[in-house]
Amino acid sequence: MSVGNSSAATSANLNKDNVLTSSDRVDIDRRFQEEALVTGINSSPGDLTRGVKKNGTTGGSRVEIGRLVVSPPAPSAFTEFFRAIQKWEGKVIRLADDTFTATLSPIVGDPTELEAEMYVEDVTPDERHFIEPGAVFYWSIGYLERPSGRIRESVLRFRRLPVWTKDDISKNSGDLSALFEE
Amino acid sequence: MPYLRSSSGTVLSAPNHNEVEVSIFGPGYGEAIALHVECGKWILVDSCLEPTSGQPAQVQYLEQLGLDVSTAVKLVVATHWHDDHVQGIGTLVARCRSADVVMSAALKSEHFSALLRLYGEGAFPGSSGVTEFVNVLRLLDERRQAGTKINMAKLAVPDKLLYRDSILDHDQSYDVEIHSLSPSDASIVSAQLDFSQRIPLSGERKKRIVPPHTNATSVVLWVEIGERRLLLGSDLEKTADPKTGWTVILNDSQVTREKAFVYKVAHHGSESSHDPGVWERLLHEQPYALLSPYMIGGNILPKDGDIDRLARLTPNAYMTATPGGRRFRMSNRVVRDTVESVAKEIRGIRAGWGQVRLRCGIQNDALCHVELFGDAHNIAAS
Repeated sequence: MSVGNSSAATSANLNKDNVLTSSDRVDIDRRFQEEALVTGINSSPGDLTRGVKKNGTTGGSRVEIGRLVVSPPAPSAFTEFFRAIQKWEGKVIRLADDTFTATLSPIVGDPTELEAEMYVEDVTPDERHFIEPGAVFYWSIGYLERPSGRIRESVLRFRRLPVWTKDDISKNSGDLSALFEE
Repeated sequence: MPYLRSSSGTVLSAPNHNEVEVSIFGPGYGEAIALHVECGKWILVDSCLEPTSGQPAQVQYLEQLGLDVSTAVKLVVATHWHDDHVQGIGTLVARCRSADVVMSAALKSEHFSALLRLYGEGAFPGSSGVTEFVNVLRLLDERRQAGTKINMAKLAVPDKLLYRDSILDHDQSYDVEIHSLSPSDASIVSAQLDFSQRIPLSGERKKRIVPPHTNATSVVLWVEIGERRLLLGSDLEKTADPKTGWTVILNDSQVTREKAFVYKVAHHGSESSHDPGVWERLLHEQPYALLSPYMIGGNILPKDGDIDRLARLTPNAYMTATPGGRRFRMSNRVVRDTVESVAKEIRGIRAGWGQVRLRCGIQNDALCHVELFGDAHNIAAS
């Protein structure tokens, strides 16, 4: 989803593995800070990017940690990055025909907790099947900074959680009845 | 705290030892009650967070009164599994170390236990009150292992005595009793079936759990302090099934022999919770009716019709804040313009913040004094 002059929202640049496929480089520090808030990662900023492929940067190894990619910083002269002014974690609480309602908990920016009714068509078609009560997404508003200029963007991306496994379910089947009186 | 400046300018002070106090706290999202029953002893019902501090509202309030919650609070009741009633209740239980914990009997279920284990362990932080219940049960487990006396949750069922004390005040003695009036057996069975159906299946995509509609399993409390009677309605609703909801209490309860002068209005004053029988048979005429608003998922309570009904029933109806929330207006122009162009509708979840405080003596003819803090107001006067 994008607004302003951007016809190619950041979400549209994600492939199915949730990795940016363009040659764009994302602002490392800003992305790190946002993702660290989401994922609870506690590392020094500046050495992590989130699934970003480099282009025209100096060499260096990429070490994948789950969906995170560790790489050395690139020269800023070649960068194009998204600068979030506001970011929320959303939780879908209701789905209607062409809209869905979600609570929005702030991650970056104004700390006000909100509730929004959003249009389904603003979610990329690949992700619409995620929209159901309980689904989690991230909504970022900010600027895509490019050498050619600044584009205001609104990016909405659903969290791709794994599926429950038999192990998940079987190992969690304990009973807490001892903590309740008879 | 600014919100604790009362409308009458009263300086904050703890109630007298033989004075009843019932305070209801509420933002647009959340509800909690603090009840002074006798001699510095308090009962806390549900939990919500005070927005500026992020602390449980009752803990903050009692500490502002100069009280030590670790000794003053004798009972913490989690009426049901809904986010707006259990926010921060893990902290509440941790801080109120000498308080018994009460939960709906519907929660003693292997399926509810499984849901807590599946959804409460890290992967879904803060989801749907599950984390709060996990925190409470973890505390009880730690206490059990440490050999502490208070180490398991009491279960609320109809007409169960949860708290009892006898007070000798100078030449006068009186009793304090608190009973649960619900949930009914049928509600418990229904809820436990619902829990079992929420256990995920292998191959199903993970998501945050959405709590079931558990209002029928809410713990309604009947409080007796001297001559005073109070009815705390939680979120119990009126149902078509005579084995659930208010009908069971009206038909079967043996402890509601006298009428209450205070009613914590059930389920934020909704039409679905309004049973005329409650007002006719369980409450004095024109009782003190206390409530908080609610707004999530586009569901705003009480509605205008609910407010009109309450205002007709009693001139003494007080609400902690105005329902409906405030239209969102972000200070950052870029964010504001973008949000308004993208979202069909957006608004702040919290409609404000307020506290209604009622204090009175233990005799029915003693004067009552209501104080309003923050956004709280009298419904009839607004």
